[in-house]
Amino acid sequence: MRTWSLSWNGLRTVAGLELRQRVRSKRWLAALIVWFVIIGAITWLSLTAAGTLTYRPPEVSCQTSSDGGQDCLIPITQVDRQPDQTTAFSNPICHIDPQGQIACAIETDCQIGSEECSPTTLGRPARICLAQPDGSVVCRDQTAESDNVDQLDDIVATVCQVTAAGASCRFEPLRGWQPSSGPLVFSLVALFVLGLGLVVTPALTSTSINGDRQAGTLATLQATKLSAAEIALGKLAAAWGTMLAFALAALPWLVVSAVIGGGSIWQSVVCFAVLLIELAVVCAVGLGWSALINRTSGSTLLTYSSVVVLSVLNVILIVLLAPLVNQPTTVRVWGLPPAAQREWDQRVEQYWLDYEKYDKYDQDQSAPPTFPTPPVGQCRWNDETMSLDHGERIWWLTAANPFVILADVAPKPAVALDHPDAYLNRSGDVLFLIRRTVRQVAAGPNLEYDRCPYLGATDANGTHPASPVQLRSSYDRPIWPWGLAFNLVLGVLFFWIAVRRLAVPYGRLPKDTRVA
Amino acid sequence: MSDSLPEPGNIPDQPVGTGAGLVTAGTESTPEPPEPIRPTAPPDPDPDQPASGAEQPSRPTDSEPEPPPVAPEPSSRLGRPAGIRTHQVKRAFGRVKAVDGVTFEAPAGAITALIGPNGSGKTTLLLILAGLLKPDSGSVQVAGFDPVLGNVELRSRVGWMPDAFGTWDTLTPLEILTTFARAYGLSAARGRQRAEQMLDQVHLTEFARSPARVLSRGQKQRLGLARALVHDPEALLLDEPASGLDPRSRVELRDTLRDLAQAGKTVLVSSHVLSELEEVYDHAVFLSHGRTVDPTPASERPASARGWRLHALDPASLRGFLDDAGVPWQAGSGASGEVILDLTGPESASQILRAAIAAGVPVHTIAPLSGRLEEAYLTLDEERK
Repeated sequence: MRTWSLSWNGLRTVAGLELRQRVRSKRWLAALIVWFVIIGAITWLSLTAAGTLTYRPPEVSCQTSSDGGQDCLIPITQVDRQPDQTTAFSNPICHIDPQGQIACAIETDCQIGSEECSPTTLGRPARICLAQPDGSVVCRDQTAESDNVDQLDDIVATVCQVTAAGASCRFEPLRGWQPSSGPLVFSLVALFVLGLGLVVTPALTSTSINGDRQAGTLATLQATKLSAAEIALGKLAAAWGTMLAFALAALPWLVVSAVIGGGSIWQSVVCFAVLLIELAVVCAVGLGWSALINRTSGSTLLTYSSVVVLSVLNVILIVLLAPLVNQPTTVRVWGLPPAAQREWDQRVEQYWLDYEKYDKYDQDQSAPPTFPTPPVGQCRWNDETMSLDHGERIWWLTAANPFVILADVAPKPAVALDHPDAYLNRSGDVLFLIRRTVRQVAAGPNLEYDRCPYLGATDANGTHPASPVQLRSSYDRPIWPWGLAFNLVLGVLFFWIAVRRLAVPYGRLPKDTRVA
Repeated sequence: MSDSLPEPGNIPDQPVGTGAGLVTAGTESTPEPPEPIRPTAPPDPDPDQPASGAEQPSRPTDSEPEPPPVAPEPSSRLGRPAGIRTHQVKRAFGRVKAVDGVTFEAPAGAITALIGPNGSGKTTLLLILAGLLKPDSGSVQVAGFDPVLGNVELRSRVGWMPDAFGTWDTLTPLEILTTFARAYGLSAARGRQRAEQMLDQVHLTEFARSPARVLSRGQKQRLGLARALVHDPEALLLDEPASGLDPRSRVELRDTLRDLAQAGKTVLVSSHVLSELEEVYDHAVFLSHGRTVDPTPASERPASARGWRLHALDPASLRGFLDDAGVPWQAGSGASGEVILDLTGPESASQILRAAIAAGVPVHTIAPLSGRLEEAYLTLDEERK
């Protein structure tokens, strides 16, 4: 059909016409330069501000002590999990005497197994500090990757060195990843470019066809040899090309922040490509509405509404729908049988009663109460019904969200895949947070749980009996192919509408439409 | 019924393209024997009149060669029929029958006028001919192509100038014309050459590089004409081309159209500025209620009878006088209350004027209608009521 015939000449004519109208003045170049500077400023500000937002090594404060030396407090929380020690510490104080001798005293404060020392309650990450033979203290950051207290994992080592000159802490890169503000900056810049693109793009196409019809320039163009597809695609290309110029101005900053954040250039290019596709989809949607609706204000409103539905409303909807998919579900729980659980609860309660009676400063008293050894050997599978959120039934609502799609393909360092929670804690990577959240929702709830009481059941090597429970901790199923495919279908549909509405000779004319 | 318009002899022969806007038929008054007031009744539109009868014969003029009557040479040269032919074309918008049976032929090498009151379907018909609107039924051929089956071929051979159109205000006339040349598939070099040629023809060369928004309405209208001509179309469709043009531009427009017709193009002009069509067209097609009609068959009226416009300070007393005297009249086109009479000649006019003044009617104007088109137009107007 002639409606769909495309020629390079026709495309160039229409796109050139559209661009010429837009790029008439020098203001255009000025706008581009201002945009480049704004993105640069945002990058720079984020890099500066990110220092306070992301993980930083702790600061060590020292005071002059009575003997003329220094008392340095390392203001961190630690849990010592040395095999032969069962105690955890906080705030080690190292005394440096005037001769340069260092002596560190680590105050016993809480004990393994008690709530206040559990890494999960202390908040992740926890640092473990060990006094070294040379008198310095080396602290390592550890984090729990899951609810299993025991699956602590080094992610980044914070090494605090106490010397005669004083004390300081620094990061030690681990697995090639140095904590930096790069991921946060990349997230902010990418989200900003996409967000602004979604706001600006409708203005470029949402009055493209009905506006021309009102101005009386469309019919004269339709009366030429140009096909409807050439007019529509030319308009689309011109609008998209305009956005491309702005996106390209932001590209250097995206690459810079990606590289700073440890992501690869390749990934940031992929991310950029997705950004451009999303902008093209919005261009097509605006074009379709401008072909469908006669009034320019109406088509603009509908295009912006479409963007809002795509990027905001589906998130609201999924939150509102969440209670509906919270349903009783039968899960397998690895834990003590009811009788053994009751007995164990009583023993733990008794321990706390004894512990309260025990006065650690009363030297005459007998040894402190010991934490009972849990009967982990008795743990077995039980079926239990729990109320769980079945996000896997509604996750697709957000799949088409441009921000979700962008987040799902955004670059990330390898460490983020191995240690997502730890990485999130330290990087402030907003895109990764979105990605992880949506993927978690899409994966659905865990159907196996571990309630076996392992605390205090560790052997001399600090390990405890293996748990058969498979907890989902990595979410490999990508979201973006679905979302991108949906958006592409949407864009093609609206483009098709635009071409159909431009095709001459008109058969049935839509209501209230004038040809010229 | 092909000679439905007043006889050519009744029309002042005036060199095309030089005339002032107003043509008064009375100026060429041939001596007639005095006769009593013998008003002729306004003819009733003949319902049995076939619509195809609207086809008008060529109008002979002294000042230029007579255009070929039918099937001109260009058709045989291109191997397909040139000109515009329609047969019983219909097009409705919902329940509104905008075009409801239009049959006419506009031969190549001639200028055909499309005449009809507002809402008679002129613009819709031109949209169909320009290949933008599908006819519901009937057959259409423009430059040998059907607007549905050969839409692209048709579009690339037709130059269409709508009555209301816009220009891209930020673009310069040169850019606009080259864009259209490209849109019609001309090469860049050829497009630029044509664009400059057209700008020169419509006297916009000095504005070639200024934004189109600085152009006046008339200049934009001329740019629109250049735009419709930039691809050297075989058929030219002009919808009210003269609106907004100053007298000089109108004269030039007429010359341009005449030149195009002489070059073998088909020119179809719709206009309600009748005085200017009067001087330029070869054929006329009348539209009313979306149909081609044959207005006022001249053969049914005395050859010398024509319309006279009569106006008094007190229109009511004038009408009363005419009714009392038994003179049939019809209301004029203006809102001022003038009346139109069919009179046989100046003597009749003189008589009726004398009688009216004697009766105390404050007549202040009596003048023949400006031309046969206006007469025909008013007949359509009458039918509309």
